[in-house]
Order: sequence, then structure tokens, then C-alpha cells
Amino acid sequence: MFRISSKVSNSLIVAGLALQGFLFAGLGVAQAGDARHVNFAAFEKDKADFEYEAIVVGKFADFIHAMDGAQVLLISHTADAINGDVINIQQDVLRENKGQLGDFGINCQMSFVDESTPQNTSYAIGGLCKIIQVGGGKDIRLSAVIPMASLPDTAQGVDAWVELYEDETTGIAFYANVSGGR
Amino acid sequence: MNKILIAGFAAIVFALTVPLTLQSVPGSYPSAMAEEAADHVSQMRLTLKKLTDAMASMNDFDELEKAGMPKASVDRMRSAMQMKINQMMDEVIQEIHKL
Repeated sequence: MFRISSKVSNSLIVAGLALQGFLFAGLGVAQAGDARHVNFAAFEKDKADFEYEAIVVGKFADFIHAMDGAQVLLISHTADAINGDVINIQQDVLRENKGQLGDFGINCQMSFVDESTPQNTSYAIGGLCKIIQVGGGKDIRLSAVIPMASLPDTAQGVDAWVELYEDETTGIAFYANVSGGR
Repeated sequence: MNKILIAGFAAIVFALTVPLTLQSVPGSYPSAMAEEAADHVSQMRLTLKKLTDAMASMNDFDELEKAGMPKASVDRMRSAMQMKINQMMDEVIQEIHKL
């Protein structure tokens, strides 16, 4: 089964944040060509009425606080990512039960694109994520197709996380952003 | 295609080897060997599981291209997945050699 992210409006929001970041650029907080770190987070709802936000503005603590109603499945930080990097993110459990191997977790392969110019920064990520819940009476194998989405850059003075994908069946959502510095 | 054949070969060797290595008397030297072989078999089962999933996911990249991802990016991801598959294939073959 394939699902494709419909978070097209995120691009507009990120563009707006980029404009905000441009205003901060005068402070010299970030330059195109600097090393950037790609941050990726996955959550699973643990409250049925919880709603994911398309974009969460604030520091990391604010981001986690905004997820009150979902549990963290994983948080990944890829340091010094460069244009064209393929980022593999996997967190799953293989469990043997009565001679059968069950599999529970997430397996993502993401492509990072840095199209920054000396005048402006531009980062995007997209790829495939498998949501696997096989075993213990479950048989869910979902391939989430995540089209390229623009990412906010915290080094530009914009602290925000963008939702890349949300699956209503499992309540799992993926977020990402880009940060700089060490 | 060759990779699929090798994986098939690995699966067959695996299926043929397991019953032979587990037949031994408890507490004896052959029993210790059987336990070690069982560990390798268990490890190989896990790797084979990941290998088959990875091979199946190669087709998913077509969907990415349909979703509008640039062909260069999709090709890069395909290439990365192929490298992972090759690596897992090597691991399976190494486990087979240990049996």
C-alpha cells in the first residue's frame, strides 16, 4: 500500500519562514555552504484526539512539548549533510515468535538536497519510509512516499519543524528540519 | 538478477543446513557445535529477512519518481539501496561459510 504526503502547503509555510530567516541573515547567523545537520523525528499518537500540526515553531523543547499526545518513536541527527546525501534511518524490532519473525518499526531512506546559493539557503528532503507492524496479530506494511519538501533552517534564526508525512491508520507522523553549528 | 539467484541459493543452503546441524546429543561436543550453528542460523534468518525486504523495496522507488522526485535523486537512492543489498548478501554468504 502506498501513501503520498499531501503537505504541499508546508512549502508555502517554509517559504514564509525562509523570508523571516532572510531578515535574520543580516545578523550573520548562517551562510550558504556552511555544514548543515538534518534532523528527523517520528512520532506515534497515544491519544486518539491528538492532532499533529503541519509546522511546529519553537526550540526543541517547544517541539517535544507540542507533541503531548504522541510518543517519540525516534529522533535522528545527521551531522554535516551535503547535497545528494542519502540518509538511512531505521528503528525496528525483529521478534521471533513460534518460528515466525515479526517486524515492528520504521525504515526510512531519505534524499537530502541542498540548493543553496551564495545569496540564499534552500534545503529539501524526500524519500521513502516503511511503517512495519507485522506480528502479534497485525499485518501492516505501509510504504510512505514523501515528495521533496522544503526544510526550515534553525541556523537562519528560524526554529521550526515541518511535518513531512502523517499516516492516519497507525497515527505515525514524520517531522524534519535543518540546523547548523556544532 | 544474479543477486536474486544468489539470495535464492542462500535460502536453499539455509533450508538444507538447519536440520543437519541441530541433530546432536545434549552436553556433547557436537551439541556445542550445534548451538553455535544455531546462532549462525538465527543470525542468518534475521539478515535474510532484512535482505528480502530491501530487495522488495527496490520497486518502491518508481513511486517516488511518479510523486515528482527528480530522477537524479531517485537514482541515487536506488544505488544506495543496491549497495545495502550487496552488503547484506555478503553477510549471508559469510554466515553460510560459518556453518
